[in-house]
Amino acid sequence: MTRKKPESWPQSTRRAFLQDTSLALIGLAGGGVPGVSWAVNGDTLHIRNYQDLTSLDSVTSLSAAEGIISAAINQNLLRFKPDGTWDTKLDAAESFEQIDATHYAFRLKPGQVFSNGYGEMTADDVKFSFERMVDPAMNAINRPDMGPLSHVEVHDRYSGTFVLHTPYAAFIPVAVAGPSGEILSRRAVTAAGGRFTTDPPCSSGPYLLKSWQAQRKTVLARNPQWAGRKSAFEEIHVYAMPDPKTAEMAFEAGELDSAWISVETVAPFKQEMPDNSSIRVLPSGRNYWLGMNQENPALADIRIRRAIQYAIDVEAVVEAAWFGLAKVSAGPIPEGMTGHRDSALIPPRGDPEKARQLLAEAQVKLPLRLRLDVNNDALELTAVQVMQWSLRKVGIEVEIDAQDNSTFLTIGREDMGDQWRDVQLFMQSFTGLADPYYSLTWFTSAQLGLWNWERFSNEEFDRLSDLALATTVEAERNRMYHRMQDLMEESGCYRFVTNSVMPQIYRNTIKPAFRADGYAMLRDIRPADTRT
Amino acid sequence: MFAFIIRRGLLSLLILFLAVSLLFGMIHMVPGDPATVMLGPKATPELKAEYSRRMGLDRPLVIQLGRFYAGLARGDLGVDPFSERNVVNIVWEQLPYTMMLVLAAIGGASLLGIPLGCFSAIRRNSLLDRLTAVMSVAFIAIPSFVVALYLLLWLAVKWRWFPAMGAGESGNFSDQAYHLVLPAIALGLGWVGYIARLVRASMLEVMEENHIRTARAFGLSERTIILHYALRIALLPTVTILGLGIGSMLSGALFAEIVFSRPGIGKLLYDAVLTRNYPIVMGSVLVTTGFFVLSTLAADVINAFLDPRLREQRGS
Amino acid sequence: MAKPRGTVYRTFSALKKDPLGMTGFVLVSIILLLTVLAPWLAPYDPLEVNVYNRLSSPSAEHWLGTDQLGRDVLSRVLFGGQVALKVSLVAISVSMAIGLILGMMAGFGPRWLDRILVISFDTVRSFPTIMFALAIVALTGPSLNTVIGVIIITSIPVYARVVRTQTQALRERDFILAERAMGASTSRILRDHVLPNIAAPLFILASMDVPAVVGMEAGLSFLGLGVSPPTPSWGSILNDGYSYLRNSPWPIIAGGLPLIAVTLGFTFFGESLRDIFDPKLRRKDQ
Repeated sequence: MTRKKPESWPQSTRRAFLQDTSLALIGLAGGGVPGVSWAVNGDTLHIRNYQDLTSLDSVTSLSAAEGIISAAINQNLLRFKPDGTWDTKLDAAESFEQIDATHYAFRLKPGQVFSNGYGEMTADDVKFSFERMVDPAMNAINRPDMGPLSHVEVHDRYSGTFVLHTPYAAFIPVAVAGPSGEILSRRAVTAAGGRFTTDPPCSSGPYLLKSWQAQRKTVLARNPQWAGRKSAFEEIHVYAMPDPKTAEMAFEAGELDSAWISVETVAPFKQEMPDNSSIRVLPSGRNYWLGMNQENPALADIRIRRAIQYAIDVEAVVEAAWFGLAKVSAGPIPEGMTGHRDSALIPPRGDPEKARQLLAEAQVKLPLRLRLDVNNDALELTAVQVMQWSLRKVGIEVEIDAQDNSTFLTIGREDMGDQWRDVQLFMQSFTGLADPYYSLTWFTSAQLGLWNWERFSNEEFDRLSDLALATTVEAERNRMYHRMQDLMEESGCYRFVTNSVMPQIYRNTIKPAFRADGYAMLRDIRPADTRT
Repeated sequence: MFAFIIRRGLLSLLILFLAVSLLFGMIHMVPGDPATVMLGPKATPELKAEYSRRMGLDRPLVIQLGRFYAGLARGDLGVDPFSERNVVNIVWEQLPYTMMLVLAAIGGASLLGIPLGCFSAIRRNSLLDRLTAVMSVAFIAIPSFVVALYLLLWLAVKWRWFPAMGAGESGNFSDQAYHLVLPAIALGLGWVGYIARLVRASMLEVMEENHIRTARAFGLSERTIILHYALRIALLPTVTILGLGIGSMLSGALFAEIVFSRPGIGKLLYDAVLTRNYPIVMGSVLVTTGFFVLSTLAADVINAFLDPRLREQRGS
Repeated sequence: MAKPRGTVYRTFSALKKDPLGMTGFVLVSIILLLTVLAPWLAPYDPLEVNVYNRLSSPSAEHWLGTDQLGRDVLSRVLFGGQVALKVSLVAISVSMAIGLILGMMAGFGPRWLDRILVISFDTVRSFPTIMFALAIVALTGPSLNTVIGVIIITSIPVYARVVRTQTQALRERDFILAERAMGASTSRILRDHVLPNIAAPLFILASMDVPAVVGMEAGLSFLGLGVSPPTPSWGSILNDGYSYLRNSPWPIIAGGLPLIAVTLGFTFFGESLRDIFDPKLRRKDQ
């Protein structure tokens, strides 16, 4: 059902944060419920992925769909704990510490081997893996994840030091523990020609890539050379199922052990729970908001933008589109992360009276007619129709212009012609990473005409954005990010909606493991009967 | 006759060429840039340029079109820029799903429609004849996606008699057939009555013809006459219509594929348009349009064989 | 379409003898009546959102339940008829008019013009409709007018081909040849002789075309390529229903029924009209 992109598709990624929807459609072979056998066999785990993968190479990989898989076949120096937080723990590293603002020292555990005979993992492999990300010749899509990384100094077979040009607060969560920090074998990658896509030349994690069928499934198998705790499953079958409906039916049919489902099915599922199953509604990293283009003449008056902010009952929006499962958000930074605000300046339910007052002050002739651009997606359309209804009650008539994702992504871009000037209201969503800087980086002046379609431009915001990334004192960062979100809200360009949720259903025969943004952590899923 | 086929074939080629070129131009005028869609915030100008180049989008439209046809002549439809797979392979993989669906729909409809029509012709004005008449009118125009949605709602979601989604396990024939039932019904339902009606009409006509009367005079049993003589002749025009049907059903298959989340050429095309995956769009447009034009051509040629009068009229 | 009184009388007396045609006529009348009177009949504003009462089953307050925004499905279905009616009226009359002109040009004009026109009709006819609609919608954005445009472009060849065949048949008839010999201009011949002769089959074709057009509008709206929200259309009601299939079956049931009713009504009625006015057509078709 690709006609629409149900809620779960576009949930994106650490990397490309909003284009997954469409990625899900690329390649396009197969689809549907792929050939699956019953998931009763305890040796094999069957799990849904929300789209197919295009590349498992950290230089070119694009989405969380790939991160889910690459995290199971590779190691990082540090990795996220499977407890739903962004805390990290040692992975390939025996020790990892910050020496000063721009230096981090690591020491690898000895005896970790790359498969296919590529030998032991060494500090030189770490150097290779990180430096190819910042090598201009590689033109790495994920280059920005590395921030101001300069180079890696190798001291001996196992230890080395990262050297940064300037301090980078997101170095650990984004560069080291994220998918861009996966350690690859220098020999193996070089032998493969310097880069690869869906055929990793070797792996060092608990699982190996056994096979990949485009648009169908990826099969992982236990890595016999893995030195850590024995991997839980003989095989993991990861199915590319862009349509959550397909996944839901497949789960009901017993063909999956675990699947990310859409918000509207949580209640019907709970009413009639498939045998021996549970649902967990996890927070997601995807932030939704209503944006307003302040350079459009109709919205140039800040009072009009403020009126729109006040007119919208976000509680009703979240109730309708997220079936009351998500919380109203106070900004792009999700709960549990430095800089998260507990409440916004404008009350969740809004204040229609105040909105009318502001419109009167601005001497707007009612009804004010505005256009709202949105992705042609069931969830987002539901959300904007509630907004439309809220706005109508204060005298603003909104025309909804639903566009397919490919067109929508271009509306605010300056390199696509002049249509960005005509943008008025739009519903947008971005997905964050493990660090708050990424959630706010799209609203700086540097992003005008790229992703900053609100044309929000605030000098203090830009300055704080740089400053907060170079500060490692958490309390200070926290204060700065609060201030930045206040500035966004005060500009009238944003009405924050929600940080969304990711409902996961799973068979009670497994003990699932999820990251703080709701994605499954294949490495840490175990059969339920195993004592941990 | 040979000249007619050649002439008709060339005309079909011309139509195919025009249709594909027009759609090619149209789809390239649509806003949306595949590289932005694909790469999101990291779509640097260099990367975007690289993707554009890979898809040949940096050239003028006419050159792109020329290249498309040049490639086509070599049996090469280009490469999907995202998965780097060959478009011919991608289209080829999806085609069987749609063909299976269309054949199952037409086949099922014929299995029901031909006996119904035959029976109606023999037992004129019986209850069944009248029912068939009503049904043939009633079901033809009901949009197939409405049928599909109702089938999905009751037979799959509510009663769970049939699988709701997908095409079944690859290599497992019975599973695939099982998955085919509902979409094929949705697509074929309208054709049952139509086929019955056609068969009935031509049966009635045939039964009046001289050689059937002669056969009767020779004392052959009614059963033999109907099965061996009348039906055989009566089926020919129906076959023509079925040929035409396959072409137009490809479009209808899209809805069945979407409602039942089935892989197939319609869904491939639809998804590719949404992502502006131009090579795949063109590949699947070519196949769908080609099938339509070919089946029309085939129907015309068969018609001409059957009825030489038509040849003269339609020759223009 | 204004018809002389005699025609109306003839129609009714014929309909009385044809139960199927009568059923069709009654269905069509009921649908038209409900649609035209929708603003007075609908119990609620079809756009009224009540989030906290969403996806409810039929009840005394909401006879067909509510959708995902708590809107009254019955009211939306009634108003959805207006969209269907508007689309079919506009699309059919425009494509019929253009088809008429092009068809007569092809049928009466020089041979080269005929060839060019026939090739263009066949070209348009061989477009995969949905693909064509997708491209157009992506170009112009989804809207009702886009849908109407798509339907017009794809329907013109259907009308034009019928007109062409009829015109060609007339062209060689004695009375036309006589007129010609007497020096009547082509436009006069077309207006006074050809047009009246092809009007009946054309109108019958149009009435039979209603279900197809309504179905196409619904199909495009179902794919999200049609009316923009919150405007209710039977297709968009089905689309909403499909998205929330597990939560409530009612929007799908409610959105599909009027489509089936329109289809049956117009098809039965159209068949009956055809039998009354143009028995020739029927024979040819069967």
